[in-house]
Amino acid sequence: MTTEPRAHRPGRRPRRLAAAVAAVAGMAGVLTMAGDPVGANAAPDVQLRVAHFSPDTPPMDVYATGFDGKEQLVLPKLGYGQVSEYMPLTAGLYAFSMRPAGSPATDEAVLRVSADLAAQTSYTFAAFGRQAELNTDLLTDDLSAPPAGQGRVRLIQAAIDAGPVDVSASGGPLLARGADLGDVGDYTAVPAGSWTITADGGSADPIAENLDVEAGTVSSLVVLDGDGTGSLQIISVTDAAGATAARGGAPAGGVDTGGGALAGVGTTADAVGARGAAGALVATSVGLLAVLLAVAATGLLRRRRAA
Amino acid sequence: MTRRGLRAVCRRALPLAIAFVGALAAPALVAYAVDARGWPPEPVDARTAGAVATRAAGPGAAAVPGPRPGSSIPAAERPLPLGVPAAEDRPAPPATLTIPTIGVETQLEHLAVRDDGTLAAPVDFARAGWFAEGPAPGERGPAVIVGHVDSRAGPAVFYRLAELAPGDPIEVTRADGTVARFTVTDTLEAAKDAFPTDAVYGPTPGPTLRLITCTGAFDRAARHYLSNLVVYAAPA
Repeated sequence: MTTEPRAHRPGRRPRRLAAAVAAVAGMAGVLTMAGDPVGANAAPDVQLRVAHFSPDTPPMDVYATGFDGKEQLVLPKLGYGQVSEYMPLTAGLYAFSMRPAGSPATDEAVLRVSADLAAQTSYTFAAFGRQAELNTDLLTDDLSAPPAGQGRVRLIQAAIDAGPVDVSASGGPLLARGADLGDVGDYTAVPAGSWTITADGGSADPIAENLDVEAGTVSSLVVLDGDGTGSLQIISVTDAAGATAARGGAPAGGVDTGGGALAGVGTTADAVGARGAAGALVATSVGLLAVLLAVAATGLLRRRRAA
Repeated sequence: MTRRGLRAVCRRALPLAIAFVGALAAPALVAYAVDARGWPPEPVDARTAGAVATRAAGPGAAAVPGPRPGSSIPAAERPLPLGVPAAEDRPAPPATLTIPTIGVETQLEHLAVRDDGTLAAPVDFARAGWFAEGPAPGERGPAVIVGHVDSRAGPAVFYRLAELAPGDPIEVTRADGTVARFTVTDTLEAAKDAFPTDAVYGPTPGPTLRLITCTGAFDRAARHYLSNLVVYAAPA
């Protein structure tokens, strides 16, 4: 199956993060907007990681500012070609900033970007291109389970020297055709096994890398600039892994884990449930009483006022 | 006291009384709301089809690592070591499971799927078992440990699993003596015929843990429970 990369090209889509690159002056606005008192106590339901794909940009310290308005160092020393682990966050508006690794937090940030993160979503916040024309993109990572016996793989084109790049698994699916810098393909199902991935760039020498695709995994392949001029390299990042049986898929259905000796005789669960029900009854009674009293009192006051 | 004085007192006292009762009722109602969200729900009726989630636990919920209430950027508390993935590469297989809150300390059997594709339960009712074909605890992905709730004679190893609440610690000691530490993040009850496969076995970015046992109504003819209880845990 062929998947054309979606045009995630920074610079072409100003509505994306690139548009949100906030001037330092604009930060005050972001910080006040970021307040979400409800989110303060919510469990993390967003996952975000950061990727450094800018070859001439030194390793960076990544800071994040959440609803509390406090800037915190979240990822120290993220270097070229590195993709961090996902960090758990609560949905909402965040500001991310980067400073050269080791710089004081009081230093001017090299890059500031704000992002509104939606619940139940996984993101990769990636910086592409040369430092002089640094672009960022907020990629949505679909970490859902692949079909049984397969993995899901997508291609991120982050090499700046390459021209349009074709990437395919030999004898398997095409992962990208004519991908330009910043293009990100959709995840494509790839049968588990060992594949040779070839990347053929317009102006770069074609390269081939071995890729082991494990069933139940989701991964990203990233085309980066190699060490020499006009050379490419491919790195593979496992985005997520599932629990699959040796034959490929996840176990079917539920598990039979009971003999039934205590069924219906009040398991622990039932006991806790009864306690909850009793609590509910008391709470409801108190609530009703309060309402009744309020109604009665209002009536009484009115009658007295009338008299 | 004059009539007017009494009236004045009433006028002042009644709203106060209402406020007082309201103040009493409010925490009770809040407590109820919290309780209603907590474990467990009503036992599942044998005829009820479909997953019964104790919380909003969509397919994506499983992939969410441990909640850290009140903390916007938990990673800042323990900066993520780059270059050293949070998931371990091929950790040793788990040997024992310890859950202090509910007094569980068990050796682990190694489990596999049966010919019909379902996951086998532990042979010994007093021991839990690890799905050995999937990730090991500490490895990227959901490590799955299964235990019986009861036998035909009495309670089994996971009899008190339903008592676990977010924040409770879980320890897995591996064959090489190293320990993988987890914290309960959520629980979910689901009918077996609508088992949330993706939310239990589906891909997770980091290492996670799922404990599974039986719950709900018992089908006496088929001799099995109709629902499963799943406890989700993330690295501590």
